[in-house]
Order: sequence, then C-alpha cells, then structure tokens
Amino acid sequence: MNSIARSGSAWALAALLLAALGGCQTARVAQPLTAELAGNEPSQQLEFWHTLATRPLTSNDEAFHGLLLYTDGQDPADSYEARVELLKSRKMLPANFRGQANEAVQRGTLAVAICRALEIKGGVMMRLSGAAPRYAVRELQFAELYPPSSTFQTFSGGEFVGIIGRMEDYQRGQAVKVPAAVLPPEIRSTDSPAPQ
Amino acid sequence: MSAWEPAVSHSNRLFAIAIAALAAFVAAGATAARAQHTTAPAASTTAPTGEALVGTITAVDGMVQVRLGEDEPWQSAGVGMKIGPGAAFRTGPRSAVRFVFPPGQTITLDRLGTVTVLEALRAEGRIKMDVGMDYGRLRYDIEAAGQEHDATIHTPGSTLAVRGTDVIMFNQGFYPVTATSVVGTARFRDLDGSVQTFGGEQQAVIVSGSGGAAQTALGLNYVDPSSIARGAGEAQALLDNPSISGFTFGTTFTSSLALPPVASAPVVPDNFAQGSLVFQLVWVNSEPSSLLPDLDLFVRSPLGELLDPKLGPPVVPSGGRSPLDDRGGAANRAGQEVAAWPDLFPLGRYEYGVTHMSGAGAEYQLVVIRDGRVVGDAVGGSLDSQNNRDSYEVSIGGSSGLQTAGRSNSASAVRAARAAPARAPTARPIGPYQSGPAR
Repeated sequence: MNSIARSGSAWALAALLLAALGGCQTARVAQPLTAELAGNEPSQQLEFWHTLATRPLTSNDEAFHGLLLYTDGQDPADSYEARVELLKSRKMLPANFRGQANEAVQRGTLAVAICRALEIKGGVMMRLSGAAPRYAVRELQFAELYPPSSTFQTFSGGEFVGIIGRMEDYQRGQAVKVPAAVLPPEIRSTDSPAPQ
Repeated sequence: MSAWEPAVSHSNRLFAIAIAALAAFVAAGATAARAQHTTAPAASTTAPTGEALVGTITAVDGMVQVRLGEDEPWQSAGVGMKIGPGAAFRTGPRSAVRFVFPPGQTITLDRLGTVTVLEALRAEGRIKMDVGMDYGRLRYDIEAAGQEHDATIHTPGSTLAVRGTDVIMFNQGFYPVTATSVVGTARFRDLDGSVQTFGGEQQAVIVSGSGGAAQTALGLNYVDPSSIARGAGEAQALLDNPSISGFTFGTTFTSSLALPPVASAPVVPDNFAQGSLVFQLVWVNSEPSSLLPDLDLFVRSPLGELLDPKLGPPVVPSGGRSPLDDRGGAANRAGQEVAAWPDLFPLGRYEYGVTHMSGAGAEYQLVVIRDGRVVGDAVGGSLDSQNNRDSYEVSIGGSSGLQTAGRSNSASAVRAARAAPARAPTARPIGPYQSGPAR
C-alpha cells in the first residue's frame, strides 16, 4: 500500500515537472517561409507577405526577414544567423538574444526592434532601461501600434503583417481623410496624422 | 496545421494538440467568414444580367501584383492594364494601386492588402459593384452625378454599402474593422448583423463592435467642456464644439448662436445645480432622398418649461436655451439641434426626445451631457412620417459628485430608453407632443 502511494506520488511529481517544463517551451514553426521565400525579388516579397498573412504563427526568422524587408526594402542577409547579427549591429536586437530561427517571435523582442526602427524614444523608464522589451511593448501600446500585450505573447502571420502596416501608417501618416484618387506618397502629413 | 511542429514531450504534444484544435477552430471560423463574403456575391454573379464593366489601372506605387482571374497567375500590375470581374490585387509594404471603373468609381488599395473585384456591371440603369477585401485598407470614391450606384465592400464579417460617397474600409491584424465615410452617407453591416447608416459632409467613423458612428465619434473625438473656462464663454464654447463630432454641421448652426452672456457669478437657487447640462440631437437621412428630413429636439425641464425650436421660446426662465431650428440643410449633411443649460440647471426628471417634422426618414442619435460628461449611453432610432416621435426620460440628481451622479443617471436613462422604444412613439405622450401626424 505504501509503495503504491509512493509510486503514485512519484508519477504525480514527474507529471508536474513534465508539464512545467513542457508548458514553458516556446511554440515552434516547422517550416518557416524563409526556407522558400527569402528572395528580394518583388514577386518573392509579395508571395512572402501574403503567405505569411495566412499562417497561424510568425517565427523569429520570418519576423526578422519581414522587418528587414520593411526597413531596407530588401533583406541583405542570407541566413537567420546573418539576420540576427545585422539586427544586433543596429541595436534592434539585444546583444544577448539567443532565440532560435523556428521559435515563435515574442512581442517584446519585436517591440524593441520596432521602437528602434521608428525611433520611438519612449518615456523615462524606457530610456533608462535601454529599450527593455517590457517598456517597448508599453510604448507601442501607447502609440496604438500594439494591442494590449505581454512581452511573451506571439503573433499570427496576419497580426504581424498588420503590425508592419501600422508601422507604415505611423511613419507616412494614415490615409484616414484622403480620397481614393490620392496615392500614399502624395499624402501630405497635414492631411493624415499618424496614430495618436 | 502542417506549419506546427509538436515538441518532444508528451505534455507538449497535448499542448500542441490543444493549440492545433484551437487554431483549426479559428481557421474554420475565418474560412466560414471568408466564404460568407466571397460566396455571397458570387451567387449574384452566376447569372449576371447586365453589361460587364471594364476597369483600368491608373496608378501603381511600389510592389503590386494583379491576377485577372482565380486560375490566372499573379503578374506585376501596370498602368493602363484592363481588368474586370474576378481580378484581384495584392500590395506590398509602401505600395498602393489605384484603378477606376466607369463611370466615376475610383478604388485604391493601400499597403499590405488584398482585394478582389467580385462583380462589376451596369444593369437597368444602375452600376453594381462588389469588391471583397480579405485584409488591408481600401478607399473607394464614387462620383454620383447622373448615375445610380450600388457598390459594396465586403470584408470577412462586415459589409459597407456605398452610395455616391467617399469611404475607407480598414481590416487588418487584430485591429477592429473600421469604416470611414469621408464624404456622404454609407451603411455599415457589422459581424452581429447590426446595420448603421452614418456619414455626412465631414468624416465619420464606425469601428466594428462599437455600436455606431455617434458612439465611435464620442469615443474618438469627445470634447470635454469641463476643460473650457467657465463663465460667459462656456455656453458658446459648448455649442461650438459639438460633442458628437464626425457629423457635418452646417453654417446655420454656428451663425445662429448669438447667445446672451451668462452671469459670471450666479446664485444657485434650491433644486438647482451649478454646471452645464446639454441635450444634443444629430440625425442623417435614412436613405438618399431629395426630401430632407427635419427633426426637432424637445426637452421639458423638471419645472415644466418646454424647450423646442418651433413651439417654445429660445430661452426659458431657468436658463435653458434652444438656439437653433435646424431643418436639415443640404443633402448628405447631418442635422443637429441642441438644448442647453449652460451655467445652472434644475434638478429632477427631464423629458426629452425627437419629433419628425417633415421630409424623408432619418436616423438619429441623442446624448445628454452633464458638466462635460455623457450621462448614460447615447440613444437612437429611426423616425419618419409614420413613426414620428420618440421620447425618453432622465433623472438628474444632486451635486454629489460627477461619477456618482453619472452612474445613477446612466441607469435611469437606459431604463427610460427601454421603456420608450423607438417604435412605440405613443407610449409616452408628453405635453403637446401627442401621437399622430407631424405638426
């Protein structure tokens, strides 16, 4: 009887440990789009964006590739490691970033990169913390680029594409008052304020 | 689901299975929603009875691809390309495409979006256009001169009907679907099936799930009069800064507000409270019509005084004012009337409401604002020559703090609104406003 109880307790402990370890692991994307659609040709870029928009998750590699496509118009890196190094050199990723290519991107990680890309300085805490993910997320929430978020949440593909679109609105102004006859490059900043 | 790779542990597999089920559920919902917006118009295109319209790409900025049919390959879009029903576009970041369909329809798809032309034909003298936008931002202008248009923008879960107007539809990521009317009225059908007519000569916005243009405008643009210096200027400032912005207010409104100055240091009698109390009515045409609707706001104070632009004096002894009789103005313009106690107001039960005086049917919204804070929810409804009057009640309590008073008044206003539904104008006859034909 006693041995059965001990055995039960051991199983329960093992199950608890397994759940704790397993539950904390980051979701992974098996086949990141960057394996097939990392090219810089316009057709490849469009295929990347609009395929990503249908995916249930965005991986680190996809997010960093998309970020470089948006900021530079092309992705000069030919591998995930090269992308990470490039972003680290621009201080868009923390120096101690260790995320894997196929891990789902975290909102906090991406928030730091977006704040750097958009030159959002933030408040006192963000300046003091050197754009810590926690404060970067808050800044993006304040700028209405992010919904209410925690730093460890991730994005679906469609949500990531939406964030990139919102970044563009932030930089170029939203076409909220502009008739269809006017293309975005023709929009004057006074016609279309950026999100508050 | 092939994009998911379960981790090695059993618990992680369970976790992955749960997430997979959730994702499948969400995907099924999204597919259903997408099917709803793509198949519904397709049903009407199976037997098109009219002349198919041919559109032209007039501008391309950045990376844009077009597909001339569902089975056709994507190709780079170029200025001058001809398109028809079934054509689809997709854009990259910092990109946009503009195309036109005759007569007078200009459509622009902004960055990172996809749109499909589901239907484009001329039938029985009407132009029928259906476009489906999976995600992105679409701007749609119609020059309505001499031609009847029936244009609709579908997104997964919502629909925007466009009638001779300029609109913008936004649907992307986790942001709520937003419909903007730059000029003119439009009709928005939300995911829950609710329909809102909104717009005018100025910009109006509906955010999906927000309950309507007036509520959205209140949330986005509410001007808090409590931030304005009190005294003589407040009355004018209150009325010059409409609380329901996003609607168009004609020049007659501001030009008729030559109010007498308010005493700078008023003595507060018993059963009065210091501060401002404003009743505000805004309305738009239910349907495009040359018979412009004329609605009147009426308010009966707890002292029995009647503020009404046609039946009452412009100023009552307690200090209430009804400075404007807005008769609807120009086409596609929202009407507005205000009754206000700018500096002191009697405490107690107010009866207020709307009477349809003449013209076409109208959709209206009413708000009560005390000291710059909205009391309860905006109420609204539809009125025409048959159902010509709605009335409501609100109890304005003592000076026990704005928050407390606002909450108690809120419940009272909601109860009164439910007790006097928009379709039962005879439920609460008030004073001269008996049921029956318009005065």
